[in-house]
Amino acid sequence: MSYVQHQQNFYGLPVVTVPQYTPATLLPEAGSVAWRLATGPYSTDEDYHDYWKRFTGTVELEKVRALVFGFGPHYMPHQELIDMSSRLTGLEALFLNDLEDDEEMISSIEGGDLAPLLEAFPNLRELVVRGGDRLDFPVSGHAGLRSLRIESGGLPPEAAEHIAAADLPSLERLELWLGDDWYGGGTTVEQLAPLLAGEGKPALRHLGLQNSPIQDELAAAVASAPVVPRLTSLSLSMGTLSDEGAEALLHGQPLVHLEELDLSHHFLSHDMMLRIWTALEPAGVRVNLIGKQEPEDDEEDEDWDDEDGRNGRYVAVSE
Amino acid sequence: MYLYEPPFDDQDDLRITSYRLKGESPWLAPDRTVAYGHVLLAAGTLGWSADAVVSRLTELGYGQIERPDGPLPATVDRADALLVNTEGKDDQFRWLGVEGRVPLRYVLAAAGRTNQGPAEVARRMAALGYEIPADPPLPETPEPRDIVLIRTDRKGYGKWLDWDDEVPMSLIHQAARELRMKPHEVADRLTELGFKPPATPRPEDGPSRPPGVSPSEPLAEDDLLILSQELDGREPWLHPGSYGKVPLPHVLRASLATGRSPADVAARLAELGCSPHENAKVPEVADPADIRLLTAVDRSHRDGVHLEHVLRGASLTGRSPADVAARLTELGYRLPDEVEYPEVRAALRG
Repeated sequence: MSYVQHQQNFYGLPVVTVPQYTPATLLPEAGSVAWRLATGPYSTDEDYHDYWKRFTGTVELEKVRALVFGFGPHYMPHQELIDMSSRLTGLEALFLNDLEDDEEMISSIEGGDLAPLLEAFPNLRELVVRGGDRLDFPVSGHAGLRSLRIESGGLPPEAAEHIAAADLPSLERLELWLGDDWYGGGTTVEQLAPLLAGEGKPALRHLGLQNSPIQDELAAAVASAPVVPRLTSLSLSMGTLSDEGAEALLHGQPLVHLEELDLSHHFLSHDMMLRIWTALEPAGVRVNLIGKQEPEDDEEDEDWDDEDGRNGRYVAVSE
Repeated sequence: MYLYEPPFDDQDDLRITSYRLKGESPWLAPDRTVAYGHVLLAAGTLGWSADAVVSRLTELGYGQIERPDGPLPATVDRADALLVNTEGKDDQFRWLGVEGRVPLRYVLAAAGRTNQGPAEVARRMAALGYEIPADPPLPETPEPRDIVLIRTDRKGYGKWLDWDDEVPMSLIHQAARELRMKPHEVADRLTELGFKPPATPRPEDGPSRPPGVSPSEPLAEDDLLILSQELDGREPWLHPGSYGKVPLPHVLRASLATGRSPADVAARLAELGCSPHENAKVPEVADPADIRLLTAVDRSHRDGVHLEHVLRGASLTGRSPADVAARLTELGYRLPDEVEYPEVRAALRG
């Protein structure tokens, strides 16, 4: 299963791709769907500037609630969207860079500086960004944002640090795919300190610290993090979680208040899987242990050394 | 990088030897073939005949100039010249070659770009000397979606139907989905473009018949029900010839929907060209608890069911892993992990 897939639903709405070259009369009502804007890589595809102009010129933008930017329009500078903010007055949800691997590798998708965008859309409730290259997030935050997900094979540590420190008083869901150092990642536990301490995000109910090569360290930090008691769900999925990290969870603060603990894509032993499951499931915590991985035998690679401490364990999404 | 500098300074000479006809770098290389499209664009831009452009380029030392068989056009409209630029832009050029007939996609792409009917574009390309098949005749009506209509792979490297290609049914459905058209509308336009698409149901035809079932096979209402993926007697249907691929939960749901036993449903599906995997042990009675369990586990009989799937099944159904493992084994699943499944049950919330 690929974690990087086109959206079928977004913000509770079915995603409808605006067909190329198609008159607006054949499209559904503006507020009834999440509009996916995507053309393609060929010269026969509609020029994405023309496509964007046709969309903004024919659809009732004031009624649009959710936009998903796919291949083609994802090249547009954020400014072109910002220029439409006076008409996109009902926009509540935005997905940037809804691309799959065969369109562009996630490690090379540019996230950009999100500060001007967040400032231009104060009514935004949900923001998803795929791609961490050159991504940054304003520490000043956003008053209304309820859900933020950054999907990245290597989230710049400074961006993660800024998100962790950001003032997001309405934020209920935060998911960060931290990613691999080799692809621009490298976020440390220390950089996430304000987030783990529960600062700046009083409404937070779901936290995902995912896709990390230091998943064991994150698990150990979470085991005593002040933010955890207020959560209803926690995800440490997609990373390199091993028995060491799971042991820390078992010996840390109680987790039985959680409704869900997502540990999918992990490197746990059968014994540890059973221990975690029997410790939490009877108490009502739904534990997701799907995606058991086996460490790769890197010793066959003559250039291999284990200085990076990976032990043949890799995150789910990197390149 | 090509570092050629032209050894002449006449403005027209500089223009016809420059890539963008602006009399500035980048220049055409004298030792490389000059594309016929460049000749046409030069003629259209400067108001010369194509012959005059060829003659002057030859005099300037360009020895290899592409040209079609037969006489060259005496006058060229710049807009017509741009019809054979496959880049579809007026400042970047990748010219259509004159060798062989023009692939249909270039005709349709140019027609879409210029909002002209494919027939008109084909006539204009032919007038420039390009080979366009006389048959089938193309439609006069503009339809910019044509180029999307004939794309056979939606991803990857891009493939398009050409003049004589067969139209797979899957293309009709893909194009209909992508362009928000009805399948018969796609088929109608493909017919106008000269293709012979497979018979595509029209609204007046009434309910469709599942593919793969012999036309002579009488179908009862129950048959349509169990062949439909949503058990509603309508499309989407189970895939024809899907021996061994019908999920066991479908058989159990079909049993509950029809009142027939699971074994009876499985037998009838086999007669109609579909069946569950050979390892599946169809239970005597369809139990909704089995359906919930199999939906939660979400594995086929071809794949092993590992500890992670047993635990997930137990989580989502409130059963113990030991109970889940035992039931899956009874239903014919393979559980290769050597573990002792716990008897303790998951607590379901809500």
